[in-house]
Amino acid sequence: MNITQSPTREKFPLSRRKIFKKTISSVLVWFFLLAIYDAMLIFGAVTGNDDVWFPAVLKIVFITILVLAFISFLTYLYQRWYFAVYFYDLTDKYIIIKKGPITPHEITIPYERVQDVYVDQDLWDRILGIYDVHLSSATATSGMEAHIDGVRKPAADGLRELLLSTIHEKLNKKQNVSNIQTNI
Amino acid sequence: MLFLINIIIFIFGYIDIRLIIIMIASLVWTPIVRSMFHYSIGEKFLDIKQGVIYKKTRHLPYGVIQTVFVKQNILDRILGIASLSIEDASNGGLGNKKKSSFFSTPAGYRNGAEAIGSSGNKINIPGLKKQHAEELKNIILKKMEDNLAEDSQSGL
Repeated sequence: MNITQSPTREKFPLSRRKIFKKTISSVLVWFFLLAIYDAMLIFGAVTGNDDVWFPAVLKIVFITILVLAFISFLTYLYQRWYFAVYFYDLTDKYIIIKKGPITPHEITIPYERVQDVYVDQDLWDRILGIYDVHLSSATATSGMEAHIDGVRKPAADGLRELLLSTIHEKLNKKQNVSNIQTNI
Repeated sequence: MLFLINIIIFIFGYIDIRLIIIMIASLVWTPIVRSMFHYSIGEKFLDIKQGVIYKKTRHLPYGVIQTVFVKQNILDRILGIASLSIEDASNGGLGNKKKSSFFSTPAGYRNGAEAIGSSGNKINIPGLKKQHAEELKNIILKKMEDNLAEDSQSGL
């Protein structure tokens, strides 16, 4: 599958571990749901009048494993696709982040509007050694939408440094311009 | 129309007159809302005029725009259209929250559905052709750059 490249993504690549993180975390939810369902089925089989409950339990477990494998496969394919179309680019003027293979969401934030830059990790990120770089403007939606998640430490640090230095530069330039204007 | 009525019959097994009325009403209402929704790129402001019964005119200075979105949901993808959303940092009348009624939705969001036009701190322009959405986005970004507000520094 072709990976959507941008100068920024080439320089600070997304980690392939992101695919596994997303797949594992969504398959785990399915696992727990199926486990609860299975527990009820097995309870029914064991407490039922049927003498031969062991084959029934075996069958339930076997089917569950098959279903889980199928779900994992589909999720993996989707996440690979998601990974491939994940686009982020720090251009001269704006930060552009675009994601979602089926329903694309594109967000554009000018550097002057960025209020917040931070890097964080959740539990899976800790285990896999990847980082999320968040940035947001003054609106709630931008905070939810604008993040680059699933990069390794050097890329995360690089992105943060690049963001902060560009913002700083932009603001200084603007301040100088306005100072000159007020002096005149 | 006949097709939609057939679907209703298929789903519910009979024709419910109330459903038909609601459906016809929405089929009539949506084009009216659409025809009353105007947006224009002014010299200093992004001008929005909207509303059929409750009218609203909004002038958004380019300097205060925070974020620009281009979004497509699954229907948009099928129809080849996109919606352009623009957000500023105001709390957009969420202070005087009205109760929703048949003719007006409260400022803000209705169950995640994308409202047409200005609501809350957001101006949503749905149903643009993908290419037009991109062009409009570029025009607005250019305007933002030309009209930077002096005191909107992020402080980072």
